[in-house]
Amino acid sequence: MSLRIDGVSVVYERAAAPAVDEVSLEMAAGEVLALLGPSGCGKSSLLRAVAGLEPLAAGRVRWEGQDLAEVPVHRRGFGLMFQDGQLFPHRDVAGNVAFGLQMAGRRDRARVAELLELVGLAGYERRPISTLSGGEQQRVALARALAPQPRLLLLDEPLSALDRGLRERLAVEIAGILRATGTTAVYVTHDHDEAFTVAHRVALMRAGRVIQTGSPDELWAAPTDAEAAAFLGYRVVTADDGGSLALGPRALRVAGSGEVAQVEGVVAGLTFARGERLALVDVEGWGQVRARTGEAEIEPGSAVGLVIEVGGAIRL
Amino acid sequence: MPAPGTHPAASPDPAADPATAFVPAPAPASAVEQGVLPGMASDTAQEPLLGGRGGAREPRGGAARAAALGWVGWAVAVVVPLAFLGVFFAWPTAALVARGFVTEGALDLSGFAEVLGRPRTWRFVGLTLLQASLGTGFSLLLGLPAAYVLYRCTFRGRTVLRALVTVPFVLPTVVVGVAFRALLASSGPLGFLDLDGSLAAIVAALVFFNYAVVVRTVGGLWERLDPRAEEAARALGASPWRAFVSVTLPMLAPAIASAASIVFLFCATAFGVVLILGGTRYGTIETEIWVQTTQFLDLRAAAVLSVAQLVVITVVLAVSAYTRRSRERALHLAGTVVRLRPLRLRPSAATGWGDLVPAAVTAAVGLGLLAFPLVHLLVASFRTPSGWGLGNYVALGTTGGPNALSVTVWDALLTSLRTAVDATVIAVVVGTLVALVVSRRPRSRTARRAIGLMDAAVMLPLGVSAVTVGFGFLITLNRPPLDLRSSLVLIPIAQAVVAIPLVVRTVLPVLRAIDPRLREVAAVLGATPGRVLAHVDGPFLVRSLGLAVGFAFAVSLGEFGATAFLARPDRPTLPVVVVRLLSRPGAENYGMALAAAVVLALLTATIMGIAERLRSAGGAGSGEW
Repeated sequence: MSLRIDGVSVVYERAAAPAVDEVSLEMAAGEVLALLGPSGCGKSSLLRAVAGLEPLAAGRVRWEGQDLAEVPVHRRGFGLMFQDGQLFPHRDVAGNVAFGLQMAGRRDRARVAELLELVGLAGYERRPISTLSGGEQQRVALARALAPQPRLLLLDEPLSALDRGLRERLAVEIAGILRATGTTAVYVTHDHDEAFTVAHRVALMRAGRVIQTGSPDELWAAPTDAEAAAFLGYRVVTADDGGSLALGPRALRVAGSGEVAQVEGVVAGLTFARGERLALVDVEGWGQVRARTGEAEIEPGSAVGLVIEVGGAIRL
Repeated sequence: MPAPGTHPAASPDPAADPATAFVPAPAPASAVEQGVLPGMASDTAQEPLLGGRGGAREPRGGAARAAALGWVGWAVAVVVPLAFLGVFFAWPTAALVARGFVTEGALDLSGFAEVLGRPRTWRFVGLTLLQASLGTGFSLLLGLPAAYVLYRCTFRGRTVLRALVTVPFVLPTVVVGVAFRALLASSGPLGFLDLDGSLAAIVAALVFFNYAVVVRTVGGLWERLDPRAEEAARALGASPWRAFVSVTLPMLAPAIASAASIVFLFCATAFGVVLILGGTRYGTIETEIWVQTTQFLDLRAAAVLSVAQLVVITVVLAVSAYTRRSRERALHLAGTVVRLRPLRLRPSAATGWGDLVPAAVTAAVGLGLLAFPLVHLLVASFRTPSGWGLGNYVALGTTGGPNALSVTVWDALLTSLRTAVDATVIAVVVGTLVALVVSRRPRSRTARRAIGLMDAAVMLPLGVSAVTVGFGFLITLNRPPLDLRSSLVLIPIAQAVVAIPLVVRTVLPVLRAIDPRLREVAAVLGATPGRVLAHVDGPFLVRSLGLAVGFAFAVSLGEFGATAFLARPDRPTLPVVVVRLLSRPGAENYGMALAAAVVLALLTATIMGIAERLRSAGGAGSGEW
C-alpha cells in the first residue's frame, strides 16, 4: 500500500460537526482514487489533510508505512492542483512548471518542455499567465504539479471552474495522462461522471464519512442506499412492494402498442435531450419522471403506459 | 484605489449530521494500468522519487533548525517595529499626555480644568471642527461630479486628468500654503477679494488638498458599480437625477462615508497650510499646540490640547475604520462589471443635459481651484523686485535678506533630501515588516487577535498629529537614557513615524490579496516557508514597494509639523526654510519663498510620478487611498 489513511478526522474551530469523521482509506501505487460527494461532505478537507495543509484531529496518514505527522507540507513530495489553477501570476508558463523542480534544486528545461507537450501546450514556455484561457491554465497547473514527479498527486476539483464541454474533454485527457505517467492520485470532485471517467476506484463521501468505495462499475451497479443512488444520478422511487427502485437515466420507455405497461402516468410535457425525444410523465406516487418516447406519437395531457428497461433500473 | 476583498482560506463546511454506517475502505484495487511514456520511465509511481525532493536530503535536525530559524525571523519582524514605535511614538506621546495630568509626580487634573476653562481653547476646538466640516463638505460636493466624469465616462485624456487631479494631494502643505498666500495676498491677482487670512482661504486650501481623496475613493467604487441597477431604474421611469439619487447614491454611500472620514481627519490635523494661511485669527488645535509651545512656552496647555486632539481623532478613526469595512462589504456585492460610456456634452431631447453639468463643475474646479494657484505660483516665482527673471532662483544660492536664513536654500534642500532618504529607509523597513506580519493568517485564534491588535497599533501615528509627535520628542528624547536632541537622527525618525502608516496601508492590501492557496501550492511543490515568502509574497511585495517608497519619500520631504519642532537652526529642511522666508519682511525673501516652494513642489511631484509609473508598470494594486 502506498497511501494509508487510518481513522482520520479534521475538525474546524467553531464547527458543529467534524468536517472529516474517522475516515480510513488505502491506495495502491499507480492507483487513481476519486473522492466523490456533494459540496461540504469533507472531501476537500480530507485532501488538504493528506497534503499536510490541515492538522489532523485524530488518526494517521502514512506513506509506505512512514507516518507523515512530523513531515511538513513541503517535504511530503506530493503534488497539488486546485480548481482555479492558482498559477503564480508573476511567472510565465515555464516558470510555473519549473517551480517544483527549482525547489528541489533542479534546472531541467527539457523536463519543462516534456511536460508542456504532455498536456498539449508545447511551445507555450514564454507565455504570460494572463494570456491563457481557463482550460490552458488548468493544463499548466497539471504540468506544474507533475513536473517534480510527485509521489502522490492531489487534485481538488480541478475542472469545476470550466464549462461542460471542456470539462468532459479534459477529464478524459487527465485520466490518460495519469495512466500514462503511472501517477498515484487522489481526485476530489462532486461530478460523478468526472469521477467515473478519471478514477480506478471511487470513494463516496457524505457528512465527513466514506459511505462506499468501489470501482465505477461496482458503484453504479450497487449503490449502498437511496441517497447514494440519487447522488450517482439515479432517480429513486418507491416501488409497489414498498421497496426502493433506482431508475437510471434510460430506464423508462413509453410502451408501444401491444406492449404491457408496467406503470401508468399522464404526459405533462415533451422535451428533447441528447438526440432523443423524451416525455415528462407524472406518475402517481413517483412524481415526474422522464421516459423515452421512441416512435410513439403522444400529446401532452394524454395517459400513457411506461416500460422499465431491463438493466436500466436496480432494486435497492 | 481598490480595497481588494480578502479571500479567506477555502472555508470548511461543517458536516451536517454524523450520518450513516461507516464502511471501511479496503476494496480491491482495480486494474492499475501502468503504461509509461518513453523517457518518463524513471521516477514514476513504481520508483517514487524519495531522494529527488527535499524529503530525504536533509536530516531531521536540519528541519528543526529551519523551523527555529523561522520562529526567530518572525519574532524579529514583530519586535523591531513594536520596539521602534514604542520608543519613538508611544513613549513620547504618553509622556506628553502625562504632562497634562501629572504635576510633580502627583495626579493633577487642575491643568485640564484651567486650560479647558479658557475661551481661547474652545475657540480653537470649535474652529478645528468648523474648518474640518466645511473642508469635508466642499470636498465631497465638488469631488462627486469629478468622480463621475473621471471614473464613469471615457474621453480622450482621461488618464492624464486622473493623474493631474492627484498631484495636489501629494504636495507638501507648505507649498500649498505659499501658493494660496501668493494668490490671495493684497499684491496677488485675487487680492481685491480681501481673503488673505480668512476662513474661506483656509477651506479652499483644504479642499485643494483633499479633492483627490474624494475623487479616487468614490471613483474607485463607482467604476465597479454595475450600471444595470441604474438602467433598470431609468427603464422604470426615473429621470436621470432621480435614478442617481435613489439608486446610485445609496450604493456609493460606503465609499462616500469612508472618503468623508479620511478627509475630515486630514482637515482636522492640517498644520502647515493653516499656519501659513490662518494668520492670528484662525487656527486648529494643531497650530494652537505649536503656538502654546513656541510662543507662550505653556507646555501644560499644549499637553491638554494634544489630549483633546487625540480624543477628536480617535472618534474619527473609529468611524473611518467602520466605514472602510462596510465599503469592502459593498465592493463584494458590486461585482466587477465595468461598462463605461463616452462623455456626452451635447444636450439633446433624449439625454437631457447629458454630462454637461458634472463636466462643467469638474472643469471649473480643475482649472480654478487646482491649476490656477499652482500656475500662478510658478509664474509669480519669476517676478523679482527688478522685473521678470530668474533672480529668485539665483537667490536660492544665498541666505536671503538680513537675518533671514543661516544656510542657503540649496543647503536646506540637501539636508531635506538626506533626511528624507534616511526616513524612507526606516519607514519602508519597519512598515514592510509590519505588513508582512499583519498579512499572516495563523490558525490559532489568539495569534489572529494579536495580529489584529498590532494592525491597529501601527495605525495610531496616522491619528496622532505630527506636531504632537515632534513635541513629544522634545520633552522625552532630550535627556538620558536617550539623549538625541542634538543628534541628527531625530528628524528622520520623526518623519518615519509619520510615514510608516502610509507604507503599511500601501503594502498590506497587496499582500492580503494574495490567495492563500498560492502559498499552499508552493509549499506542496517543495518550497520551505522561507522560500514561499521569497517566491510568492516577494514578487507582490516588490511591486507595491515602489509606491510605498515614493509615498514615504514625498511625505518625509514635505513633512513640516514634527520637523518644525526638531530642526536645528543651523540645519533646517526645505519646508522650514520656506516658512521662515515667508515670515520675514522684504520682497526679496518673499520671492525666494515662492521659488523654493516651486522647487519643493516639482521634486515631490516628480518622485510621486516615478512611483506611480513603477506601480502601473508592475501592474499591482495600490494602497487604500
